[in-house]
Amino acid sequence: MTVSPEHVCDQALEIDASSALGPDVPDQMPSIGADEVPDAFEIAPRGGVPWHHVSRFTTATVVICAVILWQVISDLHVFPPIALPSPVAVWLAFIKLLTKGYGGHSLVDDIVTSSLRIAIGFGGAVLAGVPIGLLMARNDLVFRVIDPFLQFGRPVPPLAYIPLLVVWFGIGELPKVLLILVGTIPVIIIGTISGVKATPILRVSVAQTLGASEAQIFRHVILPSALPEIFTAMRVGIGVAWTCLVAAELIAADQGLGWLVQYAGQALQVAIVIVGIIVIGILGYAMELTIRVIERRVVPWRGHG
Amino acid sequence: MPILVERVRKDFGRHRALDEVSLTIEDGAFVTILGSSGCGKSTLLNLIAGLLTPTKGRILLDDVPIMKPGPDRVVVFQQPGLYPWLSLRDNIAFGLRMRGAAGIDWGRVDEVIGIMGLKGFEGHHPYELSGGMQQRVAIARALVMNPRVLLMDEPFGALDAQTRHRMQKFLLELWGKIGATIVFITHDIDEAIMLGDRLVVMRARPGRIAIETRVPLPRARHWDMTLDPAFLYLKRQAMAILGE
Ligand SMILES: Nc1ncnc2c1ncn2[C@@H]1O[C@H](COP(=O)(O)OP(=O)(O)OP(=O)(O)O)[C@@H](O)[C@H]1O
Ligand SMILES: [Mg+2]
Repeated sequence: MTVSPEHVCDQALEIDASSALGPDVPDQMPSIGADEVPDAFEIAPRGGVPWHHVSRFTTATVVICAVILWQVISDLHVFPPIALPSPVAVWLAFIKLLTKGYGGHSLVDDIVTSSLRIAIGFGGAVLAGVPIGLLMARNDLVFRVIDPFLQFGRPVPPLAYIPLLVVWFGIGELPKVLLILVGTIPVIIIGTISGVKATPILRVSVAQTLGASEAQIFRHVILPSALPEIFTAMRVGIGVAWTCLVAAELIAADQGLGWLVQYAGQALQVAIVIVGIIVIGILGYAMELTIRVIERRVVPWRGHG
Repeated sequence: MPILVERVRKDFGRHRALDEVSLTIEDGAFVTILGSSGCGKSTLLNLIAGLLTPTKGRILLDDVPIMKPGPDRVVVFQQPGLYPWLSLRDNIAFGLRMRGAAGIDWGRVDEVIGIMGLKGFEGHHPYELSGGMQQRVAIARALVMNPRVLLMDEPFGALDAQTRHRMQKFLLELWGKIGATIVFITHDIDEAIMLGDRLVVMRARPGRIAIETRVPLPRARHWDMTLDPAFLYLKRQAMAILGE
């Protein structure tokens, strides 16, 4: 998982592109990377073995080969061990982080701290972003008031907010959570608006001719129609949240996975850095999968029109 | 409540979909509208439904211009347009629920489900139903409202011949029973003459009414009537217009 500020912009732009296309492509999803593959390959290929078996097997093979290659290269000392520790060294660093910890606390503490920051920052972005998006889509005045801020804030990398947040809110938990919230909320808002705009007109016409009021149409037709895109935005947003987290933990943190990676990096503990990166990648993926599981339960009709 | 369509024109941008369309739909009439694809049938129906407003002319219901849709004019659209998050039963009850949840007559809902041959699928969601079943759900959703005016846009287009036949019979019976005004669009000539007591045939570019006539067949329709000279005469007339 890459953790560069540019990542934020890329993903935000992708969402925007799909919203610009509007109602013509209601089911178009912004691409969210390689983890999308298992879904896309549900159709059985010729020969009868379902694709997801093939693709899982392929994924496993690729990972194992990469690790073996990595071990071979580090054994050959192409790079000094301090720059490229072997997989075994990384594994040992991982065990040591779990048992003894680093910088005074265990890896589990870092994981819990970071996950909490994400949960609060990202949860806040969803809780605020969805209603804001709905209001903006429904009310032209609200849209005109908020949209300039959104357009202005979207391309700003979250790192740039740090000095401001520190001056305004100090160095506690608040600025860290706020940074995640500020970085993620445009993705959620734009996704929600685009979901509302993508509501098929026929669904609205049906409700109108059956005598539904404006408010009823919004509640019973537009809101459920927007849900699939809101979930897509959440899946993109969780990736953005992790990007912001690493930036947030630049703020005088003494715990967390982002802190771990940076602190160990400054001490040239590359094995620990690699452990941190892998843990961030796995956690980010796990959170996205969790959203996907919720999505399957809430919008089971997704992909069925 | 007669519906009066008075010299209506409808433009979409620079495209003239309808022009000089005048039509009187008597209370309780069964009017079928026949026309080739793209001649403006759906446009006319959507105007009567109040989903579109005329560029010129006006449409009156009880002497009041139609401004917006209302549950007195329920539409069965060309596509089912079901709500994928609702079960079949909740889709059918949607209009009743919009009137107020307390007022849902579930007995009536289940009766309509039975009539449409959808028993056993109450809990299914639209994406678990065949295209023909989805269309029947859309028809049921309209029927359950007991509307005074029922606007149907090629409602049986997606059905197999047998079901279609059954639905046509059922619709005629229903019409005899509840006395609703029905405006029924189709591009099937036999269907148009068999069902309607008034037949409207449209011409394309721009959409105009070519003929509007009474169907000179007894109200109790039977498929033998497709051999009736009156039927064949109308059919030949309609074919001449559509075949241009
Ligand atoms: N919203 C719209 N915007 C622009 N043009 C439209 C719109 N709706 C319909 N048209 C045009 O108006 C004409 C009539 O369309 P309409 O849908 O009423 O045809 P129809 O008779 O129902 O055809 P079909 O039998 O294929 O359903 C067509 O040429 C169509 O392209
Ligand atoms: Mg049509």
